[in-house]
Amino acid sequence: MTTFLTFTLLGLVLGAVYAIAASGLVLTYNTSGIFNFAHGAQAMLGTFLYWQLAHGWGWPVWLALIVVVGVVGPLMGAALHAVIMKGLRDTADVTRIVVTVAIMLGMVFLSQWLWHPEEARVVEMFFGANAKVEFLGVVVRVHEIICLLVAAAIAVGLRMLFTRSRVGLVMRGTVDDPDLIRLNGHNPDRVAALSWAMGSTLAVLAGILITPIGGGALEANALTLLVIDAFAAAMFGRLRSIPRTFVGAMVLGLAATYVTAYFPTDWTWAGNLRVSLPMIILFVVLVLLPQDRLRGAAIRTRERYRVPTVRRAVVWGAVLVAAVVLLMPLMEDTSITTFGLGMTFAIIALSLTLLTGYAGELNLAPLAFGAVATIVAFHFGITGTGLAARLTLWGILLAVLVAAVVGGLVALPALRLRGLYLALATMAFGVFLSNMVLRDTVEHTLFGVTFSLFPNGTLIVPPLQIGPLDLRDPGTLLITATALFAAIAVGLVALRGSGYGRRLAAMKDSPAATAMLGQDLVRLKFGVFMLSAAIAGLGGVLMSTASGSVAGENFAITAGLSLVMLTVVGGIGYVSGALFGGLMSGVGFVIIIGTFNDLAMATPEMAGIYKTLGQVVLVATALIGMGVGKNPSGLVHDLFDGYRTLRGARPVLAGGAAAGAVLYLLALTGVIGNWWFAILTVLLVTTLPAFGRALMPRAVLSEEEFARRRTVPPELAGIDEPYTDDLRDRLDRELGLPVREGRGGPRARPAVEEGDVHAIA
Amino acid sequence: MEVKAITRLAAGALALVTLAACASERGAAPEATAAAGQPSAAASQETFGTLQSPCGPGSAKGATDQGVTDTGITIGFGDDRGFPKAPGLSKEMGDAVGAMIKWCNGQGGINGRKITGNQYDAAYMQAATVMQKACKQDFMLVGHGFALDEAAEQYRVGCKLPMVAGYTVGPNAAMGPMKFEPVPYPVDHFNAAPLRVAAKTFPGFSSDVDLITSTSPAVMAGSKKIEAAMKSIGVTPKKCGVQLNNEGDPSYVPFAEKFKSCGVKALWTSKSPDPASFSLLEALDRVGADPTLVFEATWYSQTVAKWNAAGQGDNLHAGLIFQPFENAGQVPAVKKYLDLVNAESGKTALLGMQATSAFLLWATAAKDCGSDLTRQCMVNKLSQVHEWTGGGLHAPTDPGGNLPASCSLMVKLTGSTYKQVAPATVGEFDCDPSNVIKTDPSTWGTKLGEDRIATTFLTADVIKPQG
Repeated sequence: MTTFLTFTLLGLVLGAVYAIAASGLVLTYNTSGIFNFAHGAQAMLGTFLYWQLAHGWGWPVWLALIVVVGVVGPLMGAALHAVIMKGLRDTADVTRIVVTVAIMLGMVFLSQWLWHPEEARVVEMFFGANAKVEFLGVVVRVHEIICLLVAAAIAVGLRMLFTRSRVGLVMRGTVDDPDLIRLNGHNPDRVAALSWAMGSTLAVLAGILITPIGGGALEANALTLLVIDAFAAAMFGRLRSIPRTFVGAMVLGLAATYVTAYFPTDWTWAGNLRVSLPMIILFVVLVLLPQDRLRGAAIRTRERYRVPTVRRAVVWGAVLVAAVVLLMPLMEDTSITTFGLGMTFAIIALSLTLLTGYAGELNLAPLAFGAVATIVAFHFGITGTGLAARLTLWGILLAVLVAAVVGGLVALPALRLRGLYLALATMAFGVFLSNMVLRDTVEHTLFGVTFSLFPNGTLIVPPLQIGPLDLRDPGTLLITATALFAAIAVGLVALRGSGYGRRLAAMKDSPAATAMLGQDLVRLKFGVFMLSAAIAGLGGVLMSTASGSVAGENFAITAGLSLVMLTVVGGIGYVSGALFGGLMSGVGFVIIIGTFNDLAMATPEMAGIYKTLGQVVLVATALIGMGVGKNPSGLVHDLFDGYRTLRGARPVLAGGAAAGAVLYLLALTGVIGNWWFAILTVLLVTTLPAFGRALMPRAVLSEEEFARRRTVPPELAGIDEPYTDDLRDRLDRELGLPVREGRGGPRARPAVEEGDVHAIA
Repeated sequence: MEVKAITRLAAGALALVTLAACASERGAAPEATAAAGQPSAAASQETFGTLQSPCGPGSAKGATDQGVTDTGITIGFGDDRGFPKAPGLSKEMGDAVGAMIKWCNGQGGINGRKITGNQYDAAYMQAATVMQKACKQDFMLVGHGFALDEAAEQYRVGCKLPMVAGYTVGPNAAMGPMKFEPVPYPVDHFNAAPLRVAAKTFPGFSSDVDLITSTSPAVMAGSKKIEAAMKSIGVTPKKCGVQLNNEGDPSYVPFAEKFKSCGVKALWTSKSPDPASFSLLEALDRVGADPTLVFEATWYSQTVAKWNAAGQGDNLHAGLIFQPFENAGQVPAVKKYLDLVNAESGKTALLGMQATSAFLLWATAAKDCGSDLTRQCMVNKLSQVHEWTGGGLHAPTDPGGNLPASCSLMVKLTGSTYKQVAPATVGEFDCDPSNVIKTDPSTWGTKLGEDRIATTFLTADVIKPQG
């Protein structure tokens, strides 16, 4: 009985931990409309800072608490709002999700940079671990009691805030209709800043309270992921109801503890099950809980994608393949291997273009389908032994087929979910797969067959061979992957232009209207999910063969999240956005970090600077949200816009092409190194539209823009044009006369916005 | 997390592994040492512990193989120091080999050929890339340690690059062709000496022991081996059913309670000393469970010592086949290692000694090859070394036969200081050939041929020992 009571109490305390974490999520979601993946990371940073002050520098606990909870917590929230979150108004769900994911990753990198991850940092309990009371033979520590009380207090406090207080109502109103709130004399921005400050403070407090309960040693990932486990609790209350969130947290805490305590110890999978429990509960809760009704009206977001014609897509696909062929002589073997690997990631990213960019459905775990396909290919698709082993065409086809079926199976229960809920359901599936399937590493017997799905935790996947096409050679792999990417991309563009593609777009814009017009939403979603999973599966198998050996962590949820994130940064509605996202998440960061590492090793006297630069690049991930907030359609959208204007300025295009060719020749002859070639080429490509505007304004700029830009010397003003108010203003300005009432100010605006856009590009 | 676990596990397994008839003291003249011990033309009086230095002037000539010229030998070495999630991962290995190259060149190189080292940073994820680079330019890889060596193995075998690795992790790398290690840990043999020493020292270890496992595949594989080894020496783990989340758990107290109610008196783990492990130990301390902790060699580390300043882990022991730094007074090789690496302001740790031993093993074989320094000659010479202590850095092993040591010593942590507690004589190992046991093929993680070489990437034309 004492054992039962002990474990029950531990479960309740654990539940309190989840409750505190989840209530912060609910707070920010309710008051800003943003589901904050970075909540745990904020808690983690705050707790590390607290440790640094209280233990590292020996400040008194109360002073450290005041500084961290009272000052740093609110400041961090307000800063996040001011720098990033403010810019996310009217953006799609996927954009909001990836922004917080970016912040989460950046914060984790920051903590790993400042505080070496392997060192032991123990946060003590308040009043020490020896301050305890005994009750029915069960020992409870004062800190744990504090934690339970705080959890209850937060629950009651937030409930009051949302339902009884004026500011709480305004906060909720800010999400639903900021304009109405503004009309009522409130400032939605100020309210949002306040709620971010509160959410952040709650996160920091949670981190400091929670860490000593678990054992006390601080670890960046654990605290960050704890909040992801708490998603399940928050979902109990559908991100709205604080009391139900509280109940959900307790269920979660008790369930995890009872599994530890009472599951038979010879169930080898019990540990994996316990670890997966929050995600299983999350999935079940998402599927079972009643959903919001379909939105009636279309919701306008700021994302805009232009779909190219099939012919143009074919041309650009050919250009891509040609460019890669031209680049190959420049690269060493190692770079070709790396590049090939990046291209396979780009294929996986194409699955997101279809699913999210075209159909508006979300999938945060694209790599999970790659994992499924890899496992199938590994078990059923390999012939030969030793270095002569090869993956067969049939193996890869079977793998893609299974990935598609699994995609359909996952989509089936999740079909009625939308937006954020669907995203979380796919994430739950991804984590579940990582925990249960990719960790099924030891042999066991089921139905008379002895097997393990992921033997030894590492799968050796040999290269693909189809007839004479042998992908053992890195160059062949790169060209094949590029050609495959181009082919699928062209196919997707064609699909988008077809009737089916337009139905997908309609579903994205307004599910209710689409259903009203007689479309079968379930079939549409089901189909697009299967197709997308098939593409992800194909890319995943190729990725595994390109890597040679893959472990569970190759398919980890964070890797999938960063793929989604970078694809959104590139432009998730574009196949070229997928190219950017795939290359960057697959190998881009690895190359950048690797280069800094190599530089640091080659020049020991500069090592400190290079290492710092490498870290800064990683931490800067957090700032991706700034760019995405300003330009939610993605980088390639901007680039395309720039080039579209150049259509009339053929000399500029020709000049750019010539400059590119010169750079290529210089690199080919070894006059400039590869890094210089890469940097200068990127510079050339991104600045060419600006050159066009400067050199051939008449051809590049639109009529009004041109007229606006054309400046007449002041002494000639009014001679060959009417003498307008604007002109008089301008002369006043030139002469330094005071500006007349009500004029001048607002006109400066468009130019400023234009400048901002270029700053991002 | 996982990364650390894998590396640590590898390191742990490595350091555990022990062998050979128990010569117990380091003076047990290894064959290679005897060969180098003859007064040679170099007439160098420099030693590394009990090992006559393989380095010195000479008149070796000829571009006999890739990376070898009249005047120089190019080797590759390195570690995972640039891994952002664990900055400085196994940095001690690169630091050690760098210092050893300098030491060797200072004496004139090997038979007069100066050594050039290409230092690589695999940064965990880049092992395959690094291997492709090494394939193009190096004579051999020496004293390196890449956690993801499994991903690099196909390239290495493909370009027939022999290596004297500091450590290997993947089963295909550990059993690969043209692979030698100063401290082998083959998948098919296991050194149970640390378990034996623990069972001898602590009565509770034989009756009420359990393993701390985690969801990491590396830790699971390691634990499975330990479990089998325990059974073979008559110890049955209690199986309390605790498996930690490799990604971290919100609370470790339930696990501590579980261990307590299960009645364990001793705990063993293949997990690395990371914050999660510390949390569990704190929790054990908190619930008043006080089991004897006997952990793998990775727990002999500065991080653990620093954590235990307050003494929650005063019941912590680690089984080593390396001499701990605390024995530097009795063991000249350890002192030499510390002096050489400290002079370069490098990081010193167990894996650094392992890399040092790898370099010495390689250099000794290279010296024996003389002018005719080819990969074939190196494979021949290395495969003949069957007793190796790295000048006394560690217990005797069999690099040529790819067999582990059969010895162990145990250190105990008190506060922030480690001290040898078994055997009683400081600097000695407890050895017994019967400590090396065969493992179950289902735990190998690869298929082995007749000659115990992994077949996964094997081709017919790999360099095999001749004569």
